[in-house]
Amino acid sequence: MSARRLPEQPGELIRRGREIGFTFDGTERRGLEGDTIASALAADGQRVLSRSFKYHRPRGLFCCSGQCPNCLVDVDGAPGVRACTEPLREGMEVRHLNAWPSLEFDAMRAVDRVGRPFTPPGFYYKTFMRPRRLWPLYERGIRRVAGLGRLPAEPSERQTRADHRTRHADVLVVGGGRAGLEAAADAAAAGADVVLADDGPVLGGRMLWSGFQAEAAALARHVAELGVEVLSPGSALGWFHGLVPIWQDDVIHRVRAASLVVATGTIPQPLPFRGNDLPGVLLCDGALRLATLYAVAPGTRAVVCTIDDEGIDAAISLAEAGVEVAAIVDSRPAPAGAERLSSGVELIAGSTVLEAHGRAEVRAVSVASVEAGGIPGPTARRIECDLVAVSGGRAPAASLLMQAGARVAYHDATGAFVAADLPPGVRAVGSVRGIEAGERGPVPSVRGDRSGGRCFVCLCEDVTEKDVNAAVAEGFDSIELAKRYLTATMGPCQGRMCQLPSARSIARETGTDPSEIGVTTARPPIAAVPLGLIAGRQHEPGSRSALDAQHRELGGAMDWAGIWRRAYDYGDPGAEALHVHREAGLIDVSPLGKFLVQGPDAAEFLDRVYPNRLSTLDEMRIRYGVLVTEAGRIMDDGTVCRLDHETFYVTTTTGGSAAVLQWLRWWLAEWGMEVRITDLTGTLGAMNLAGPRSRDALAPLTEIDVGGEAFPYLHARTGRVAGVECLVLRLGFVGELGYEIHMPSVHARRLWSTILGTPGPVDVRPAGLEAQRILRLEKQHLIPSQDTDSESTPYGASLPWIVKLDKEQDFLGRWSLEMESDHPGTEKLVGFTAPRDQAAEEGAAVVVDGAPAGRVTSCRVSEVLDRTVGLAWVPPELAQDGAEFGIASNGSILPATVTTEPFYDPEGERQRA
Amino acid sequence: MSLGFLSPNGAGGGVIAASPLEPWLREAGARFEERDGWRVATSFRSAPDELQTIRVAAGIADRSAMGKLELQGPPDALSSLLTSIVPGGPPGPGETTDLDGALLWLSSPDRALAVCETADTTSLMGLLESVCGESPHCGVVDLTAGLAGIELRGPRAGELLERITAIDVRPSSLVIGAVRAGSVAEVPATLLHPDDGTFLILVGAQEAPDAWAIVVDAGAPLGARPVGVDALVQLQTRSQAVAHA
Repeated sequence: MSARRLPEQPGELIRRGREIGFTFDGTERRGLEGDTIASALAADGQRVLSRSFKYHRPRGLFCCSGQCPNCLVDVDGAPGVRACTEPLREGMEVRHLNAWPSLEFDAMRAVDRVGRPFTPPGFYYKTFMRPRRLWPLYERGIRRVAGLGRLPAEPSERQTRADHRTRHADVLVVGGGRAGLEAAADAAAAGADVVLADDGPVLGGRMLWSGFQAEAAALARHVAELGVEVLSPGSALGWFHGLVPIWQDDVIHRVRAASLVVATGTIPQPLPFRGNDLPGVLLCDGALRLATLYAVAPGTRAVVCTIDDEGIDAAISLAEAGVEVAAIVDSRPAPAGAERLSSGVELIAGSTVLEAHGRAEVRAVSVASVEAGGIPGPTARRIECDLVAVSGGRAPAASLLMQAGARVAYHDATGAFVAADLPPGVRAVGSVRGIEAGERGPVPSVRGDRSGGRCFVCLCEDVTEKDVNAAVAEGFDSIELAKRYLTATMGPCQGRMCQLPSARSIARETGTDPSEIGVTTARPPIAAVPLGLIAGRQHEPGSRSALDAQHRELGGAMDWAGIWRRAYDYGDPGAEALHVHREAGLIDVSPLGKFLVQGPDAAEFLDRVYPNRLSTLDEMRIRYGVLVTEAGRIMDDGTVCRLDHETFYVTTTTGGSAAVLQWLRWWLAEWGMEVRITDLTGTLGAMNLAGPRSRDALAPLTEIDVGGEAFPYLHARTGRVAGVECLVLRLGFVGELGYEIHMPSVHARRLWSTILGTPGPVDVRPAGLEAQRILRLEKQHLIPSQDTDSESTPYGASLPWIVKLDKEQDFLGRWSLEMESDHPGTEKLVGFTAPRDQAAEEGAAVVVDGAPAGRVTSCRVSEVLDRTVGLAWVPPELAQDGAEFGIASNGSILPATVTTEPFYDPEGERQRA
Repeated sequence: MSLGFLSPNGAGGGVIAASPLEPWLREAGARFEERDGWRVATSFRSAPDELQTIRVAAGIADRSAMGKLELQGPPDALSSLLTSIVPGGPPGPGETTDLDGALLWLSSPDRALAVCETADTTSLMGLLESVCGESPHCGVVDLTAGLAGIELRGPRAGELLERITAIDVRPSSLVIGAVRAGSVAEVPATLLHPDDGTFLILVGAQEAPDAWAIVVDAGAPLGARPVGVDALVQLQTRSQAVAHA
């Protein structure tokens, strides 16, 4: 048994006799089951746990409740773990942070000893600025020494599992102390579905270390019996319009409750005195937690420094636990609770600790009287001790209430900020309401001295009283400005320990009251949480063709195309395109939007939404269509196939399908026509068998007569292909004889494999998305949104023939297109060619007479044409065959020649074959 | 005009339909058998192992082979049609009703979706086509191939759902027979609660592989694992036997 381990304490959490082995900085240590890392180390005599952020001062346990930064350690490679709340596990590898070469001897401590000229308040705005050219060097150095630990270099080593869970509830209670437990029990007893979250491992809050352990256990049992779901340890991270994320282990519970009950209690506050950060200086609560919950003596000889009865209570409890209490230093002239003290404890009333002495830990304190206004007098005496237990009052833990919209008001009686005017659906219970007002003494006004004794206001960021004074003197005299200048309240404690001391200091320096200073805005996360947990699991769901697995098996390079993952190529897109021209290729076009438009008004409906005529389409015939907005701008394109008098099959682009569906349904609702629209995008797979020998490849597989006369271009047929009932469309998007085969997606794999795998005279090979893009470009077939933008009209895009202004039926965009037809636009989409080795970037500027005059929208090298081909928007006067313009490319101008006809097979004989 | 090219059974037999999840199920070690025109994942592990998963945690099963037929029509006409075939009339919002063993619900005022066992698809299609024949304003479309089904069954199925959707799945909210539309497994979905401890997630076939991966991943810490349809059937058979004993 460790020398610091106390005799058995009532309600202790440890299991004596059940030892756990772990290492700290590589040395073997032992603790007990139920210990935290910190309690085990404390029991083993380890007082220094970390080094401070800026000055690298030794730091030890302070709050023992997961609030302050003093015990941040690295556990098994994960930095930023609070040792005081992290349960001990067998085999844990614990390492210190922020010290080199060792925790005991930290070279960066020099900053504390001699670095003051370089680290004044807001030093990052003042120093390391000149000479300017050295900034990269400074930056590298600052980066090396800054931060609180290092993440593993490899992303794979940084990954931990993080799950999110949505929990709806009637009532969420945050805080598992007496008030929270009672509120949860009441709500559950009334039939509510209740979730209770508490950031401690055991429910009960302060009851656990203040003599009410049995009552805490009984209340915890009671809420469990009532069916309350308990998330413990579970930290509330913030309030997001009714959603409160609770972090528990590797899960973030996103709790959406109709009612929020905040029972977060209060946070004990430190007191200002020189050396108030030395290991051995603990909050009274921290010392009691250590002694009561883990049976570890926080010290052997204590001095309690207090401004209220909590110090006296703590002194009594520490004495009962077996710690010698040398004295109580109370700022009150005549503390009312003094009569409860045993005769062996000296009370020094009307006084305060002026300084804690020691290098690596507390050895003694200097005590001085407290004069009017909290000003300390000269040192009156020195007391040897190794523990200073501090009680500087309490601040309500009201962050959650403030985030939920509560107003903040200063409460004179308790000297703290409290939440007021709670929003509907939010209730505060217990001491978070700030109603615990007792006799309080003045908070002493202690400053640092010239001998180097620092008096800290913010332990996280190493901000001293002197820093606050300097900031105020420089004009940063509001709490928000001082926060940004000093970074006080921005560290791991998020203001819990430093908000009130900062406000008090600024108030004193500005001669005002803390009520006028206020507090900083409460922002999430309330508790420090790993970013990976907030991010959650790394999924990027998208849409996949039924042929996705086949593409991967064939070595397809899968890439995003809108929300779809598509096979970009199978190794050589140029060769794939060439094979389509020479033999036959199979392209997966399943991601195309596919809609069934049915009903007695279907033909008229389509006539209204497309600018060309579709009601005149014969059954099993296909027509190209461009959808335009009311402003006559191109929004998408595709084909329309009439299946029967009342049934049309409409295809759209892959990227435009969702918008087109919404568009069609919107206008259908507007016009109230009897039309039914069904999205078949996922229901049907589709593949384009294209190439001069595609007919020979398809014929043996189908009962459909695929001959040129029986099944001409822009016609459709239904029938079995490889035994699967299909709809086959004769289209020519890629410029060759082609059959677009549509089938139930559940049969797509069979069909794909059959077409590619059938032995025969035709060598059908898969072709990817990039090959398709090359092929369509050779035909000057545009892709909406790539070759057009929000201002493009069919006239500008060289598609005037698609607009039928003589159509009887009114249609969307007609008025605008009529205007456009009379007023040609300022640019036109044309094809251009360039030498093979001079391909331009898509988006490159078209240059005419040395000035930008348009842009390239598509550009590829065509293997079959042995040159570069593309589409570009150019001034109308250049929209004629043979016109020349330049394309800006990496500082040079590439020559380009306009071609208004398709580059490949301009007469379209091959696709109509 | 026949819309047979929409239906997995349009080929008239002989051609076996494959679930959109098949390659992923195969990667996970599924064994397949042909059932009612579909190649279905019958098991992944031993039967006792899969039954144990369903009993103590949750089984995750591919139910894409279930028939999914959509009735469409103007709201009044559709309501009238449903009144003629559903004994209790059209289901209310968020509710399902039984139609010859199929679950039917209104996904919008002008659409009703019916989900049935694979073997019942043809007969249900026949029924719906015949009633639509009498109601010229309504039609039926086979969406079986367009929607994948993922069934969660077991005592931790609700917990698993809480990790993949923001829909309120508490028994008090998602009662047995309820249906909700929303995001499940990060994709648009319809969530049904046909029975105690049983949930059916319908997602677009194109989104099903990623949704499946997300469900399986989220279920792992809870002990939920993929199971074959045989385990579901076996469990159902046993519980029916117990109920009749």
